[in-house]
Amino acid sequence: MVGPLLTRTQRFVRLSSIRWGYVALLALAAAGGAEAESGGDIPLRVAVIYNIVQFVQWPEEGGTGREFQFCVVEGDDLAAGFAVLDNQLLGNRRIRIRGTVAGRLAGCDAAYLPAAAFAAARPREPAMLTVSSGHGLVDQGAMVNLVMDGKRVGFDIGLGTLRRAGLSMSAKVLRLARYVKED
Amino acid sequence: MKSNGEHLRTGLGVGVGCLWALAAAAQEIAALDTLNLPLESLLRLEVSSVSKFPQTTLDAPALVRVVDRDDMRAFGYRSVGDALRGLPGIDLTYDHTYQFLGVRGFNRPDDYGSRVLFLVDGLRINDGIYDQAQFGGEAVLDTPILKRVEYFAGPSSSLYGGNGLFGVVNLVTRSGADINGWEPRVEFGTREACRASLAYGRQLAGGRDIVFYGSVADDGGGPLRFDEYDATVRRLDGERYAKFFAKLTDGGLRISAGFNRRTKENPAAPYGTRFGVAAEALDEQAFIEAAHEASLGDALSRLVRIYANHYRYKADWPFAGTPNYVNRDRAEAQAGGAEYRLTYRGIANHILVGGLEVRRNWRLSQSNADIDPPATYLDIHHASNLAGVYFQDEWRLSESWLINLGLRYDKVSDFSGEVSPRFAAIYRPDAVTAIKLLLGRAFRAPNQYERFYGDGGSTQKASPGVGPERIRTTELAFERFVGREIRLGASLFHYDMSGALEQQVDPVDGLARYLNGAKIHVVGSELEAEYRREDGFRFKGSFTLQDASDANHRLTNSPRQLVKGQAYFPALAGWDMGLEILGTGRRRTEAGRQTPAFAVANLTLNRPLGQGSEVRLSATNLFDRRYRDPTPGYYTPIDAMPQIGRQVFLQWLGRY
Repeated sequence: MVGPLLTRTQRFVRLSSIRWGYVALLALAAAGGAEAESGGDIPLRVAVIYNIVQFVQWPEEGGTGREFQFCVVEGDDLAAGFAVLDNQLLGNRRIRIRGTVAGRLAGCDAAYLPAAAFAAARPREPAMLTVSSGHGLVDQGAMVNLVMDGKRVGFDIGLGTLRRAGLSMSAKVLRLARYVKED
Repeated sequence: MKSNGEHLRTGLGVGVGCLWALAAAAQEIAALDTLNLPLESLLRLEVSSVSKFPQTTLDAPALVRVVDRDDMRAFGYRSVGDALRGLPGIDLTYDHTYQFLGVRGFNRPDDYGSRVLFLVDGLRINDGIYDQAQFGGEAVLDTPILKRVEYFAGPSSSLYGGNGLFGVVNLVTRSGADINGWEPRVEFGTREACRASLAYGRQLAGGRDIVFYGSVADDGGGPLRFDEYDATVRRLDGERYAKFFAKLTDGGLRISAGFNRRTKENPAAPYGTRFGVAAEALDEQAFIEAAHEASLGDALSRLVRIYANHYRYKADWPFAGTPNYVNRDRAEAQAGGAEYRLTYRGIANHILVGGLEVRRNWRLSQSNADIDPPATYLDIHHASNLAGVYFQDEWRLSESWLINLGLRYDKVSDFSGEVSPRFAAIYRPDAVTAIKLLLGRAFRAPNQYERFYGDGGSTQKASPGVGPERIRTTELAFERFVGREIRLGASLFHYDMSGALEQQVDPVDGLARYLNGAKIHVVGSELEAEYRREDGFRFKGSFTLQDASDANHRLTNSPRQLVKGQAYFPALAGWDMGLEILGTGRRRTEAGRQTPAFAVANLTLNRPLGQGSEVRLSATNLFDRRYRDPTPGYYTPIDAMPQIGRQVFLQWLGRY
């Protein structure tokens, strides 16, 4: 069945003027380059991250007084949107948004890195949740990766990486995830 | 109501778990309010700023095309057919009674749209006698009440059972929140056209959402030239319709009802009737549906749907004789059905859907009789049942790979069971690109008309022995966004159809009847590009090349090329302008002749008047191009049907 199908299809493409259309289209497609996932409703995407973080458990929860260090590496428009989380409560801890660079993440409870910064640094700190937004970043070690699905926000979870860092995540979030990578 | 193509997406198996009510949540929420919404709700909100494209999702197991309200306004679309006509790979033909939707080179002369599944908010509307999908004035709804028209080419039997051989058209109706008040509309046009509609919609306190809609049209029908009769006829092409629609949404519950009655004159003397006297056909559809979607715990959600629908057809054929007499066709179908669907997300990376559907066509009547002197040639009453069970798994293998598997088993009265599988592999090399391999199989059991219709030895006889037709499809599709402003699409497809139900003339008695015909192959490709600028300017173009043939010939009424272009200019001295150019390659007619290639231009000018009201000046077939569509053999000696020339409309739309 496959043989004749391929023959017919090949003949069709070869004989027809449409191959020039393909040439033009591929040239256009190649011209673009894969633009990083950007734009979108920043407050909505920050809210999704805030919600997900609420369902993550850290190994030794600090006392009421201890602040939650949410480190943000600058570099995309989402990073700038994290300011609204400053002073918000996470359980009984108050979030402190701290601007930093990829190399200085020690002491952070969670860190957001833009896609390019994440891919370059692949940060790994004990008990630190890594968050990013781009294509294929869970495979590169992100624990929470925001993705756009059509016009909606979705997220992938790197569960194996998250567990190895000593964190855990509620099953409720995992069910809402687009993709969960166990290991 | 469900937004962003949720019905079609559900149909395709993407994003199945979304609830209607929550999907309708307000889109503009202050940053801090958003923070406190539950995650489930956040994931259902639409991001409006990410892209100007009315896209559904790159992950859908098909190339999904959407015509949204912006397009309907910009290009002055009145009917569902107008909206579909501009999409890649579609050629719409018209015989002055019905519009026939050709998909990918397949537009058979005796096919009343039975190979396209037609849905309103996910509910099947095709009738029980002809399985007809109706697109023009005969369609159950028209555009002022539509939020979007969604379409994809390809088989859908794995989810919907029969009919979805070539594609699915889904009309998504507007919600009360969308309309938010009163919307009157009045339109006058040349050829004595006159149309009016009134929509009312409101979201009430407590989240209840209501919609009421009515639309009427009376087109007198202008002159048409028939060279075959060396005559120009006037006022024999009239159309009148009245459509009503109402919808209530309350949480996960939705109740909706629609009604349409359309009468259409046909000036082209079908079936050897008298030329110069209009044949008149009446089509009437009604439906009522109640659907409830609820979540049963964290991972499970349930959809229950019950519905009833009605279809009535009556046509008067004026024959010459001594004295002249009228022959009348009647058909009536009533059906009721229910569907139960569960969606389970409890296994990581899988969205599992299982469903059960039953339908009872409790009345399937066809008759044919002369009025005076009375003589009855056909008077039959049947009933039939359908039961289907389906299963689907959307399986995300990795961040870049998605597999979609679907399987449905159907049992239709009088026919053995049919299994319809579908397989889709979707590869996402990056965030803006999708490459899809789509394989499917679909079937269609012969309808009542094909099996049992006969008019007493005049033109057609019954063919009770015919069986289902089947199609096997392979498609490779590519979609990519370049920056924020450009979208590219390409598709290479191959269809194999066996046992195609076609009318053939029996050489013994000269009567037509439906038979399972030879194999049909379709191979083709669609290319499209779309550019949308921040300031509102947009351009869309597509080119389709296709080759549909049986063992010996290219199929009749099958254009090898389709070229389409649409451009919208947001501001020209207080007006905005939409220009659409639709080109169709030459087509072979039943008599073996060719209709020449042609292009038609449609121009729409809108001018806002303030407070939401606006005027629209539009012209269809702007350059008054004289073109013809190949037509079924029963219009002999007319082999290709002359089409309507330039028509100019003036419309006023108010919002209160």
